[in-house]
Amino acid sequence: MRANIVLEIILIGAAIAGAIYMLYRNTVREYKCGSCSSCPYSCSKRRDS
Amino acid sequence: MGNYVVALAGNPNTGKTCVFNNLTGSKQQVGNWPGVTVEKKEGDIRYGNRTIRIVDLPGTYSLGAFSEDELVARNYIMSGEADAVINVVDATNLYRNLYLTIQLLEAGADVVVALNMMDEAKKYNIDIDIDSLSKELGVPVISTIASRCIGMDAIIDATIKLDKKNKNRVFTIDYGTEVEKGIEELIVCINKKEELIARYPSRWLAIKLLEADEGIIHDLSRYDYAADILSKAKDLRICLAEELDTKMDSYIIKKRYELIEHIIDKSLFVKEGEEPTTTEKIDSIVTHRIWGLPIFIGIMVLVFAFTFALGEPLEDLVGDGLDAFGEWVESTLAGIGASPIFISFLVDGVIHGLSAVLEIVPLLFLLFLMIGVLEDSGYMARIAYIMDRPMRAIGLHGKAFIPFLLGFGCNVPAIMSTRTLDSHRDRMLAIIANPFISCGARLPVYVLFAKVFFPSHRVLIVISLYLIGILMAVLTTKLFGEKVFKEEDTSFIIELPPYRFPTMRGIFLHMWKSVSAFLKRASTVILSAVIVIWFLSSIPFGVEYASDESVIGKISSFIAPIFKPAGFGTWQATIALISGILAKEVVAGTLGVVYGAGGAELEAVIAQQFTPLSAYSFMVMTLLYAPCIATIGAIRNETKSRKWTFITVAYGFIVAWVLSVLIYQIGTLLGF
Repeated sequence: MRANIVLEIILIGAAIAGAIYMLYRNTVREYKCGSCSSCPYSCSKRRDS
Repeated sequence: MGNYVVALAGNPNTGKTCVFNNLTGSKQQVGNWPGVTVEKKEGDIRYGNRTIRIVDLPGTYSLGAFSEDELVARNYIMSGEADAVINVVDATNLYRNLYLTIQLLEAGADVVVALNMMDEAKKYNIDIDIDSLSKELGVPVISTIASRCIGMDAIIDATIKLDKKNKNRVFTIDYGTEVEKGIEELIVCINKKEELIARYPSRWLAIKLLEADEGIIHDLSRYDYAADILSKAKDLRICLAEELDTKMDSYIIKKRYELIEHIIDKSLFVKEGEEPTTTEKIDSIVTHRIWGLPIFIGIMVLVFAFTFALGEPLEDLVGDGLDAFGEWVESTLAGIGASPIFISFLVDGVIHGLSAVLEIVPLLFLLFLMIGVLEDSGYMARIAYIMDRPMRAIGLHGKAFIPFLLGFGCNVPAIMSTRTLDSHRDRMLAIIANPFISCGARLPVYVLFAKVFFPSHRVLIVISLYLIGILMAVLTTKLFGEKVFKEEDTSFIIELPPYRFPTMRGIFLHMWKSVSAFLKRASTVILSAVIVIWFLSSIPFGVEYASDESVIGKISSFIAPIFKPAGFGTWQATIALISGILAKEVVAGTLGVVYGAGGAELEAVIAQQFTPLSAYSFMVMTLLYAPCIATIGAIRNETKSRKWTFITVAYGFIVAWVLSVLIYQIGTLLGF
């Protein structure tokens, strides 16, 4: 039972940490690049053009 | 052997992107309207033992410096990065298309002409002598039908042969004795500057200076060593203009067209058709000066009516499926003894958060299918033409309506497409107004609220929101056009392509690109956002989930009074709007998380928390209040101004708040 709880805490913790990181990364990238996360262009290509 | 780079250049809507997709196997969006490509795109193909990189450049009418997309194309051609250029030419409009060909040749590019849309040329009784055209231009000319993948191998073969010949042809136009003398004088000066010879072909640069090309003059004015050349060019321009009694740029353009007329005389034959073409017949109705606009509005109503009529049952099906999945996950986890917090995480957070967004996927599929049909058929280009008169009333021309149309899909490419507009004023106005155009990401909120409060008038409610968005964009353009940006005289050239029967591939490609982008966002930004919202709704541990005492409840309760006059001053509505700045789809997802409900359950909660009037006010707020972070980034990149980015966002919020409050307060007074 205790092992289950520990596993759940690890899973939820990892999901939250991953979500915060992904949100941060996306927000910064989307703002800097001026494109949405599903945009086919990378920022470097955009700068080239 | 090393990499070989081939650029695809051509006028807008000649099928460049179609050629690019055929050659590279790529799935870039193609459309039967100009301005689909505003940035260069790249793809690789294998040819024997070598890799060929294909670069699709934005469609341009010339290598001038009138708009950003022209500059992108010109800078790339002049950079020398491309070993060869495939110039995609519309066989039905050789006269206009050859202007770019002539400029490419003058710039010293190694060109292969892909004479595209030969099937349509045949329909118009246009007969082109390809050998003669090739001889006149001095470059290979290949007949192609890109939409049916005909001639693609031949283009690449011709391009490779060009490389093997390694021939640097010199293409010159005789501009007449006086001008040629001026060109020679400038070439002598230019040849003395090694820095310049390294960057530009001397003759091309001399002609551009005589044309007073703004981009070139601006570039050269940054260097001290070019000051004497600029001064000499200016003197020559004045002197020659007096001598020839015309402006130099007009004279040079005239000479180029004289050459084009000569080439066309030799290689193009048109059999006079007695009957008007199908395109002409359709255009006489849909672009009619009186009926054009009502027909456009009628078509848009039909698009939404079709989307909802067919999409609703599918939407219910997906919604029920997601509900059942949520219940199954909840009962299964409870059965195996999972803790309540873990169940809440998966069900309240992930499943409820995503289901509010995913439910509308069938509607999006159908909406983008309809838009794909309009684009591929060629009707979209007509909308810019139809809208020219109404747009002129607000100080813009019809071409500026294209970014608005693109905004219905996503505001980011819409803002990028303003590069096709020729003046800074038009670009700024189109950028500032664009966030008001309702993108597809706002649809989940409209669908959810309209379903709860206006079940029998969903189509009308959604259309009314789109119209409010257009109205606000128009009023904003008018306001900023009159008060901030001075009037500039801009020309309006828009390609009216022939109507084509939309291809299944084209439509599904368009639809798939849009829906897959939506699903990708759902699995990244939206999923992350709903997890974070769930976490903030659950802490500090021990408080009731998503209660006023949770962190998110406390923060949002502090801000919520701002929205009270608009009728939705709850902390749940507030946090939904705040999180929507990350991505507009997150608004609906957040409501699912903070109300801890999905599907029918969420609809029941919303029915208790809002009234029909406050729901409409909330939808208007969602429509107008602020662009998402990607759009804010696009505005900053395109305006290159933090000030205008801030003004656009702040202005949007003020307009949204005022309008929502007006709707709610006036509606309350009227007894709604």
